[in-house]
Amino acid sequence: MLYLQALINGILMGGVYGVMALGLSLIFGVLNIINLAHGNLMVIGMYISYLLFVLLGVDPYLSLFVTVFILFFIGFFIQRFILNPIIGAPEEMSVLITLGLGMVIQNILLMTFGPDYFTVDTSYKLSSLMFMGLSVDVAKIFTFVASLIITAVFFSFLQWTELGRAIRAASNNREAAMLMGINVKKIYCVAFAIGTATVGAAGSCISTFIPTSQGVGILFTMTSFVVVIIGGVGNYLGALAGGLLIGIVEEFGAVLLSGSMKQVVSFGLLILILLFRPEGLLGRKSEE
Amino acid sequence: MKKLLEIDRLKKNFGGLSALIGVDLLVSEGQIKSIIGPNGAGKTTLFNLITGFYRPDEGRILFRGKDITGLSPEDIAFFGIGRTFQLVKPFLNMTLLENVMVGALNRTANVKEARKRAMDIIGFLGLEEKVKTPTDALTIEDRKRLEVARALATSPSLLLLDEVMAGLNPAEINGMIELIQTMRNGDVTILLIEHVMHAVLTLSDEVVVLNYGEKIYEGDPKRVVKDPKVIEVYLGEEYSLI
Amino acid sequence: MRNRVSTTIFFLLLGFLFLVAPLYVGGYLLEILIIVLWLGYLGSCWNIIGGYAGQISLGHGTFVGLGAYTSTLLFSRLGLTPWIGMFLGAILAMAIGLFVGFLCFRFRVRGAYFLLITMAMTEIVRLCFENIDFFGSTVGLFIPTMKGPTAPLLYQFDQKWPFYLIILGMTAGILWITFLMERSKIGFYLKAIKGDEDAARSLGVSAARYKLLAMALSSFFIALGGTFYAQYRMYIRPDLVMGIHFSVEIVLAPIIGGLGTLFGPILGAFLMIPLEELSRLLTDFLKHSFRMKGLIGLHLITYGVALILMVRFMPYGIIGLFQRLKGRWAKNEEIIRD
Repeated sequence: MLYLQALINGILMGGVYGVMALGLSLIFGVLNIINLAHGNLMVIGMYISYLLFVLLGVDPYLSLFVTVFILFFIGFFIQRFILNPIIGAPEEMSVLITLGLGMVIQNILLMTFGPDYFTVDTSYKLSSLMFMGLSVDVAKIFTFVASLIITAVFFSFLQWTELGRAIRAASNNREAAMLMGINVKKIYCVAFAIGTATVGAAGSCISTFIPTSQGVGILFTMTSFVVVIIGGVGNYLGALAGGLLIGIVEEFGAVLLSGSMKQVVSFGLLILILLFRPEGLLGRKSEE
Repeated sequence: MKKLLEIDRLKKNFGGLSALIGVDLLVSEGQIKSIIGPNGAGKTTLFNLITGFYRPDEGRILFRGKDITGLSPEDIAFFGIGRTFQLVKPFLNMTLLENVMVGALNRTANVKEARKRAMDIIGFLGLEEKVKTPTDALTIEDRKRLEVARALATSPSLLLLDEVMAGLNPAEINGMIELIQTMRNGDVTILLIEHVMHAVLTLSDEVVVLNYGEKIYEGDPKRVVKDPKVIEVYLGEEYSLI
Repeated sequence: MRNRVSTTIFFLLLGFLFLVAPLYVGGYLLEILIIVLWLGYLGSCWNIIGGYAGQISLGHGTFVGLGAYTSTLLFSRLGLTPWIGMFLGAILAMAIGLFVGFLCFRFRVRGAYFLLITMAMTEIVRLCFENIDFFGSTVGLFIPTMKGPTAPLLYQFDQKWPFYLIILGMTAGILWITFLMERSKIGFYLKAIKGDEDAARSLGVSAARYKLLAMALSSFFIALGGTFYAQYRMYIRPDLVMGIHFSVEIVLAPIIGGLGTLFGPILGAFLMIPLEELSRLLTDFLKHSFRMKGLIGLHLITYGVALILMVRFMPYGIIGLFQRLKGRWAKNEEIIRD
């Protein structure tokens, strides 16, 4: 019974893990950037929703739109001024730069909000549905649904819009895309911005049941990487599947070990995958 | 002449693409042998297989009679095969001298000895003037020479040169030709990949032509330009037939 | 020749000044110096794999923690003096480092993935230590205080200056080791691996073997720094000596000072710690004068910005910049003349 509960919770959580991973998969896959600031950007989203809730009473699933908007611009700015100049430089550079960026973001948040944890106390925060002896948090259900919607939007954008096609082109073959008149630098900014907007949306969704604090960024970053690697970099379907898998695995880990040891299981999985199947369980998008 | 390098029915696939379909090759000691062919014919793949960067799917590579198929690049360098890369890879975080010293350290653990040998090689390659130049400021010719110097410093018996003339002007090409001849006279067997026909015809004892992963000609350089199969392959391609 | 003599004299003088510092530098400043040297020491150890070999690890905190916990537990449970315990801790750290390195380098894991693996590793270890009571869990472990004349034998001193001398000696030691390594075959090979691994291998450099060596050296020596911390602070806790945050701190000094340079990590530490103290003072001042929440984290923001700027504009660190300006190629001229 306990396991069934864990399964449900894992799936619900997995949805938002998938969304987090989508953004990173885009950034890692298209731009080949190891974005160590990914989780910190998500935390910005959490704080935005928290503020809008506390100050204006806006529900996080609505302030999600604001978050997406703000984080899109933040991401565009970051790529335009900080990351674009180092296109083509060795990977380590982007790692260290995003590391620095993450530090800056985290500590600006620390300075502004202090080290405490904040919660968004919506009316439904504590309610749950009872279903065949299992209790399912309402907030988690909402988040799961929201995740599905965000994912659908993400996919449609990449698949059916011209911009989305341009992004896929630029990720496949930069030179060819340039030759076809695609402004690759601008595409990169948009791609990164979409990545940050997506993870910001995830932040809004998750703020309804996870406490917000400046320090949790690195955790989300690592978890996003686990999901992306397992699903295969650039494989968006894989990111979803990976999200669900990790969500479930973590919940089972919490049951078998303890709540705070959740990450031991998911991080351990990351290590194993990186060593033995770095292209992910579902395989990386093929590169030309 | 002694057999130095023997390649036996080498095959290599990448996913669905056949890069090499059963290539045989023999390089004798003291030879200069050239491999030519259109882009994508599998020439660099062959080099990567010989030097251990790729594993062949089928076939064997023998060096001095010893099976070196699938060995690591560092082991193959130890056994005496050196190489340059088509896109030069200088150690930008080290000086020119230090670059060559890395090669020299293949045969000695003594840094002083390595330095001395590196200086000799640098002199041989005519790079003494450039020793003070920062590595990232070196011209393309210097970088090509550095690449050769580094590989030569490992004291190879067989040197694989991958398009070492590319990007050089006619004077520089002649300089490189002289260099290669001098190296051969110094007991280094040379296997070249080249597009610059003038160099191929001047230098080679034998020429091998690859096309779509297959060997379509092997023999006298003077006759290669007249072979109908070769001409057909090159028709429409732009090559400097100086 | 003359250059070498004057350089040696310079360093002897500097060394002497450092040696007698406790005589004229008092409590607070001595504390700062100790922390600076300690961070510089940790950074110098990391520099071997991260700076010279170019394999960036954000998980070296693990080895510091393993050193600290091993010596502490051996002392508190078995009474074994940390002077011996620290070597056992270092051996354990080296074993783990070799294990992780073996898995990564033999499997030819690309640099970015090695980085993620080290990050995952250090968090896993930290979480384990935080959840196991034997290791003190989140409360941490206190090192049992020993009084009396035998205390020094148990790596305990009631004054600061012995600790200062110890860390000074350790730092001098790792600098000496790095110095020897730099001009040996190992140093050349590590730099070649960092420069271009494929080219290095084609010249006979066994990349996996030398990266492993660098990993072994860095993990062994950095663990000794863990024991030092434990004995100096008399208290350890997982988040203080392990985890990603701590591992990042270790890496900041070498990056700012200069990756793969001899004095880079020390220089970086000398810049970082005073900055941290300054921002702390500023925070206190603002808290009292303006009743602000304070500028907690200001120094970290500065580090972050510094990191971004450094990597973008000065990838060779401050020392690297120096070297390029001075035209280090003059060194070659000297060598040819010899």
